[in-house]
Amino acid sequence: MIPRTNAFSRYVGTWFDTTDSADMYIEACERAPKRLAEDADGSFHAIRDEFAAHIRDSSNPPLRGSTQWATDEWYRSIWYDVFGPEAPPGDPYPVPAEDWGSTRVTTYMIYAVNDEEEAMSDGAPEWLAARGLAAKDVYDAIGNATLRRPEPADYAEHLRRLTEAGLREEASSDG
Amino acid sequence: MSGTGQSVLRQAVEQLLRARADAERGLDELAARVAKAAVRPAETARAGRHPLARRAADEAAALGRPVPDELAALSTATRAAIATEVHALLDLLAVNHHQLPPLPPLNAGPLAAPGDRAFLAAFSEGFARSYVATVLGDLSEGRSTSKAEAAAHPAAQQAAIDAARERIVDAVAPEHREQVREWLSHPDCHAVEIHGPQVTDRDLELRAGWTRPPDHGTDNADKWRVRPDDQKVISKHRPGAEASRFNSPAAFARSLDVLLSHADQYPGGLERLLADHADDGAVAFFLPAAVIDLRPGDAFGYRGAGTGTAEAASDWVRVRADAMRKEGECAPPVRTLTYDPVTDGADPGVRVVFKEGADGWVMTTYYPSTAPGPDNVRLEYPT
Repeated sequence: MIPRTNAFSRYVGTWFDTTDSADMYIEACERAPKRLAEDADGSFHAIRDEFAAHIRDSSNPPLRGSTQWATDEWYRSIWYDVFGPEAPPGDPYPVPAEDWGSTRVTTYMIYAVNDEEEAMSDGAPEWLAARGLAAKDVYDAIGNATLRRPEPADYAEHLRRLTEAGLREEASSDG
Repeated sequence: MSGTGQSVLRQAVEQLLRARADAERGLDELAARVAKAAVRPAETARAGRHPLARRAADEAAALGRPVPDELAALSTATRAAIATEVHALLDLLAVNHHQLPPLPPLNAGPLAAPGDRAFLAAFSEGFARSYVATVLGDLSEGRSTSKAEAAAHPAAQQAAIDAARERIVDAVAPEHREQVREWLSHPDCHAVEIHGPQVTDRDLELRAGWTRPPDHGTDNADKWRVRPDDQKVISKHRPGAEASRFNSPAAFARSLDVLLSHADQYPGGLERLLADHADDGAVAFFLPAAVIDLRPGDAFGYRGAGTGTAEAASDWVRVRADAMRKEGECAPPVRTLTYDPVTDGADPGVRVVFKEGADGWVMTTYYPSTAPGPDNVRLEYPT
């Protein structure tokens, strides 16, 4: 089992809550390329690797009032927003690449992308280019057909095997 | 309209639940009126005393009797039709909680009875029931404002913000005043501007509903506007589904005192406390209501209607983004309602964010919240 390190928890706890504002979330996404490029001590790469491992093993505790599957999906969307279009290594349920920005819309897209520069985050053009997306397409997708991915049929069994292998802890029932 | 998307699905769920409430109310009234309508001629006829009149009275009463039964059947059928559609939409929206991909089927049994509780019981426990419950629960209270009303709302006065800041600084302990003044006066700090006691109810309603910042019109504020030629909302202010404020300078000041007292006792002081919990020069703390003595009535806000689950909140934010588009391609306005973060919150408290800049640590925002964020660092210690 990959333990959730303090560095990883701090990363999640600092940047990704959008209850009051999406400013921190957007900033985290726009900072990431520079952090990876200037990561002399490797600490941000370590956070990224741990991020991937927790998605792979479903080893993040379920968010309040949420299920393990919905929680995994939340982390997958953050991964895309922060680290880009390559699915995290080892993801057992990778999101089809063509879904992003068409049938799957992320928090960054909803808040930072607009079809006009005046209403768009300053870092959005670069963010979109890194993912091969066009602002207009993403903006239209916000109001377009988007369905959440259903929990895969084998998911409960998959979780059971991961738990038995000691890769994750069984979540308490109250989440 | 922008097609058959998520925000459209979410709106359809809301519309159907609203239709259900209307139908139930309408049919109830009709049943009562029909019962009365049948009884009244019967009583009038009976008053005639003649056997023929009495027979007419009995016949009139008998004729009226099955009507309420038929109306009850109609009510049940209406509820069932609406529940079936809501269920189908939820199946599309989010599907499942457990092993099976499709939602468990609707349980039509409870739909024979009126009322929210019976209606909810028809939906399977988990995603479907909690989604319907959160939307249904807010339906009667939620209301919307128009884009035009948001655009016409008067600008904030810098003098009112400055006065509120002074009152807050006066309310903190003398030994913390200098620090708090420095924090709240920094140009990157929006705590008073967005969450201070001078913010009005209407400011919060428009922040939640239309992303209009409460400090709108002051020099440092976001240049939110409704573009006159096509009614598109142009803004870089990005509120979530909750917009809150502290109701008094004292309530605002209290947690800052607690935070600074804690920092005073922390080995290495404030600098160390922030550095020890920071990621890349930023830190977000959560101070639970019990620790800072944040009581019911100390805070207030407007939040999206039907945002009680993470999924429902995210759908609501999308509908809002959709409503801000140009005239002719925008969704209808979202609904919001008032709340008290302390009494309505699952785990209420205050969130505070610091960032390290060229001139040291800056408090960027600070607000009452219904719950900590995921992995939010909690500051809990004996008071």
